[in-house]
Amino acid sequence: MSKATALPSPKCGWTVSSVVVGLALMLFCSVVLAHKGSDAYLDVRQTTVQPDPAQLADQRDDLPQEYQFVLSVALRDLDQVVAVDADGDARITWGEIRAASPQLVQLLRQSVRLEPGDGPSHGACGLAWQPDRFERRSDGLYLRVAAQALCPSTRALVLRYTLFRDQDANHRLLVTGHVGGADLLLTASPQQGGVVHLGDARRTSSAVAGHPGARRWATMKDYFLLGMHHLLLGYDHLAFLLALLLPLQLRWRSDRVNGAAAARPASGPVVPATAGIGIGWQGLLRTVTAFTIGHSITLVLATLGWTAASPTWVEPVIALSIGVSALLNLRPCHGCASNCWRWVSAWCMDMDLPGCYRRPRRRTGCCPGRWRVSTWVWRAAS
Amino acid sequence: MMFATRGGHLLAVLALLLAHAGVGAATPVVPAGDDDVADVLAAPTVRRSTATMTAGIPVDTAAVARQVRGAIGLARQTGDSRYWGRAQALLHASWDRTDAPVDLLQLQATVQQGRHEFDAARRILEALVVRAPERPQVWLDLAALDRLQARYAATLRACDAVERAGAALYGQACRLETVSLQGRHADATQGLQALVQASQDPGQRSWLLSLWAEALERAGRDAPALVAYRDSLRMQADLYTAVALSDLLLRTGQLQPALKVLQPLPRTDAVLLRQAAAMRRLDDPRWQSLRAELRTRAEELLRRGDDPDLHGREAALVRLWLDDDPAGALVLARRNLELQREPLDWWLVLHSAALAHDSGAWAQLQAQRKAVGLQDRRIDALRAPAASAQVKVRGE
Repeated sequence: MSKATALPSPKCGWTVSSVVVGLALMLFCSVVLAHKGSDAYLDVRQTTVQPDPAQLADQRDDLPQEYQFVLSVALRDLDQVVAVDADGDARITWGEIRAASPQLVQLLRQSVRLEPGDGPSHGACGLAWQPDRFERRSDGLYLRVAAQALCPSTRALVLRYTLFRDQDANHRLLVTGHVGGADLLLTASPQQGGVVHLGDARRTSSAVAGHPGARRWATMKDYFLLGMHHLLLGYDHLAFLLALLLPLQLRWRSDRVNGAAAARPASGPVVPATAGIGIGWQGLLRTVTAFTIGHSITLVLATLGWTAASPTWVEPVIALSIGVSALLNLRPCHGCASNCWRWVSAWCMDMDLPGCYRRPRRRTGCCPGRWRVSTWVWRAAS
Repeated sequence: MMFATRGGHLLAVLALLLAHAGVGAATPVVPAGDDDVADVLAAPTVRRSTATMTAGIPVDTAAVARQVRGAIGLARQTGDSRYWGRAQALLHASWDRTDAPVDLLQLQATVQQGRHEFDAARRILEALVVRAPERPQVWLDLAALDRLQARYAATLRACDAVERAGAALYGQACRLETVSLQGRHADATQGLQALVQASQDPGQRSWLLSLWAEALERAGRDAPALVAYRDSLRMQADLYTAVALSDLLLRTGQLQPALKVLQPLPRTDAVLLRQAAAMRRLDDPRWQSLRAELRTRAEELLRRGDDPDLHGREAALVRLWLDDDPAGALVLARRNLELQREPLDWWLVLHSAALAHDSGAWAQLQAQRKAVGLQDRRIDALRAPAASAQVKVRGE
């Protein structure tokens, strides 16, 4: 049996090897194809509208509730209904996608609809899908669309899903999210009626009505989870965290001296019996704090509309900051310069796509204080 | 070794966790220029024809059958299950209708067989051979199903019917493959060799070479089997034969050549599993990423409501080759044996029983194998459970 060639031993020891392995693994993960059938992904989140004091006094429970919907569908599946691959050469270009986008959005509006209660959707309680972004999953490129809906809390939230009903007998809609204080985890098939009961907001509405403190904590929890979800979604987030964390050596001072005769080293003071965490944790804390503060500032600026960074230059800068951070791990610049760069790159990393800051959205009439709390909690989580 | 230090272990775990977090996740993509390719399809999409319906049966049976065969071909070439779903959607009007055209019902059975819904496929085929006994394809499909479930006497009857229906060469190949499974190795290998030499069509010759290679393997003749597999793939590449060749290479310890064969193939579960097994035996840490990917895929199957028992063979092989869990593999392999009984399934369940030191299961399974009449030198070479210390499995 032959042995594989061992990874080269780098000057910086195991740190680089781990980075290489980790990055190689992540790159490798990105190229595998799926074995599963055709799936679309829907995420539904209830983001409760804060009622004004007059409504609270009435103790009404039919207050409108806001929901955020995000739907991802594979382009190779959409191509069955809308000719995205216009020239039929099995290679879908960005130009073809742009040309087909209006039809794709129209198709999704027709096939993925909200029907609160017994009747069809109307007014603000409907899904006006808009293109959000593109994303790559294990089985190819997906179109992601988003929508907001404002629906009465007394009505059950019912989705009608008929996408690919005639094209793929094995297609599924995988639903996740959080509605009415409960997590969603459903699977729906367009062939089996395509009706998806998403729950209703009554439980959450009555639970928080007249209780500002409870609303604040519930909102904080929602946005904390949203931030965690945002963090885990992006390869760039994970790659950057890896680049920041790897060079930090988490050393524990020897606790062999604790309770035993302290061994006096050849030079230097005796290690105190009260062992503690090494300086690495402090560096970690500084770096993560810089990241959080920077990310929060740019989130506020983008959400308030004071900045509008173009993805054209933002994305390369993000990639560059990650790359430089990783390079500094390979070729450390001894002294404070490399640490300073890490703080700066953590700051720069926060120049994220403006689209990523659509949550939490600004809403007229929303309590500014609660919105501020939401923002900070979301950024702290992510 | 690079992960020998405690810090190295920590970071290896961190790297793997982060890699696993990436598996199955969605990565944002920034649109590029109009002429840049965003995605590549397995083939140009064939959209459903708007055939007029009469009493629910499409009038253009030939067009529908053509589209369905195209989808089935893509499902087999790519291992992408969405194409089975598309094939079924094309057959929607005729699905499970006893008065539907024979061609469309036969294709329905093919789709069901492709998804391992063997009982449903059998019901369709058994009805079709009564309705249309003159159709050799229907008999061939039924023979394949019977052979897969180790019903060799029924298989031989179906093979005879194929020959009576006018497809002599296919009937002979069907019979020779079956007698090979019953232990008549000399007759089978000589007969298949003769068919290979007499065939002029490259596609047909490639198929016959793969049958001959499998028969040679069952006869314990690995060297000529290897040559036959490679000749078959040279004439016409196909996923099934390539995986069979990789199995031979893995079994005989030729790990790098196995990886070379697997590298260009579509990344189906069967391919990833074998790559991971080879890498693990080569101490290549990339095998762990593949293991994580297989785990994610299994979770996705459960998430979307698919029956995990239909993928029992791969699940059991993962437990055996990658998880060092022969007891767990034995449970899954026994359940798989209720669904399919090809030589690999017998090898899997017996090897799991041996490594799990389950003498009772071993004896029971050997008795079952004897009862169905399967003879295979690869399985004969397995050793009964040892009473000594646990044997470490490394994808062997």
